[in-house]
Amino acid sequence: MSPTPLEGKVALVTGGARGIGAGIAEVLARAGAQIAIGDLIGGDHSAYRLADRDELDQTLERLGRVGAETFSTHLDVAKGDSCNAAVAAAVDRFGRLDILVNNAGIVRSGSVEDLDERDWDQMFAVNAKGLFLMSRAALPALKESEGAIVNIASVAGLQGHANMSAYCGSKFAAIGITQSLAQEFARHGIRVNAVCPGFLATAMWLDHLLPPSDTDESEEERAARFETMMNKMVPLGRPQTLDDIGDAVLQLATAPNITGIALPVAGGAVMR
Amino acid sequence: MSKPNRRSLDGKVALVSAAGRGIGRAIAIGLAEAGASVALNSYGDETTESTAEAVRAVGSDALPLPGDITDPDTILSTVDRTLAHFGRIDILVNNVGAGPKEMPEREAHALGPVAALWDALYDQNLRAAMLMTEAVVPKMVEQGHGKIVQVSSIAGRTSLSDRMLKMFTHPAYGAMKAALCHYTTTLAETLGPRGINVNAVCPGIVWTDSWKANAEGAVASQPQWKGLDARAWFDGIGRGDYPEIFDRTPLRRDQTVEDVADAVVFLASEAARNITGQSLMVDGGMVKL
Repeated sequence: MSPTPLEGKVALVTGGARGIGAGIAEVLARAGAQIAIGDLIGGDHSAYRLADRDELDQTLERLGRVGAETFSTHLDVAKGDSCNAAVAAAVDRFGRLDILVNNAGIVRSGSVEDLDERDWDQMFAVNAKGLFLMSRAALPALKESEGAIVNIASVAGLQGHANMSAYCGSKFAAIGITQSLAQEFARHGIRVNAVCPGFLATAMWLDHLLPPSDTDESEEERAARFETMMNKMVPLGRPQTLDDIGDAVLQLATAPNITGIALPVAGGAVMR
Repeated sequence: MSKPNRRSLDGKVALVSAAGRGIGRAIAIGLAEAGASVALNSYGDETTESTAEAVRAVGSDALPLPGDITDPDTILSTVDRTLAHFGRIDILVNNVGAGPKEMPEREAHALGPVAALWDALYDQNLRAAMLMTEAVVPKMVEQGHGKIVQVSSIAGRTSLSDRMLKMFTHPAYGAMKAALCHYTTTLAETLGPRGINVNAVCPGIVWTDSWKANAEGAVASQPQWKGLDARAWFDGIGRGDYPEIFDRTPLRRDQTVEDVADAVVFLASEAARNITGQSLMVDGGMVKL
């Protein structure tokens, strides 16, 4: 593979302002793609800290340094109109769309007794319905480019966990949607796959997924506890990195005869 | 930018079995194009040398090691000679596998023929890959790193139609390939803490000598395809023209040896450093897992 297989291609990454989305955008940018980022900047989302303008600006600057043309737009993947507008704006800016990375996602954990019904709805709206709405919005442009969709699911989409019913359910849904769209879009030459990240020391893991501690702990202690837990669950014994996820997305976005798969990038925590 | 290309295999040493033709040859060339030196085995001298030439043509070092890789003595000497020449093995690709080349002797009872067929498919698909892995793993453990890629098949991940099984393959082939996928997960579990990644790729429908022979047989023996060119008939398999033989592939095309090689190179590279225990389908979406 040439070092820049995405030369002349355009990728739209949802939730790309920070975290895994920003990491994916950077790998795709290094591979030669122009990058559109859609993110819910500064919106109001109860109890969930969204990426802010500074984080987005830093990401855009980093992508620019890699040599990518960039564009960013407000996007709420849970709303059809917003998805349509974001895709239209990206296509307007770059003239085409080759790769859609559905990365935007939210997480809340909690026992069945504790989890709020609104949290359940919100997780399904973003993590599951968002894939559907974005894929529908991008379909005309992807038909023209015979492009690819990569959905960022999770190892939580392959195995259930206590206190994670809503998140796991929404990520299982993401994989079901991936398989369905792979079959539905194949006749247009569009490939649809999922990447299932495992354990990354992102805000999502450190703030939400790591089981709560009985004691007050410092950030360092919390990070150390994450490391210990991850070591137990992962045969390769190391956390996954943004580059690991980005490289898997790049591989699936460029493989002409792979569609409908869900590829765990989790150090062996899940095997299939 | 200065960030290293994680797909590069510069300076790595790979050992590939059954690399004389088809998928194995493409894998050897793909690894070489990514920068690896390649020790390569195939059954015959000529096919081995031909792939070695192709590896050298892209600027990589090639070590041709012809021989029957289902034979434990050949396995041991192949590994020894690779280590003697290159000093280490970073990447092992077990591409060995096929229908039986020769049938073991039949036992003198009513189940003799079926037992012989299963034994033969075991020897050539599972046993050969397992013994090669056993021969290489101690060195990888000593190195503290390694990448193993098993070449399995869609036949190991799904059932196939009755017509497909009667005309072209045998349930034992799928059973051995399924076992190879499972062996991949247990190896990944045990070797993960030693820094070794173990994965499989599962090719779908690929124009190799086996499918060429299948196609020639189909157009020669089946009245409805009489006179059809073998390759033209084969294209119909990928397109889904004969649903009674093979379920429709969503992308409606066959897969190429390069598609499989690209997946192997990815799994063998640092780009996949945190992927282990997976069976990666390269099948145009046929198998739904």
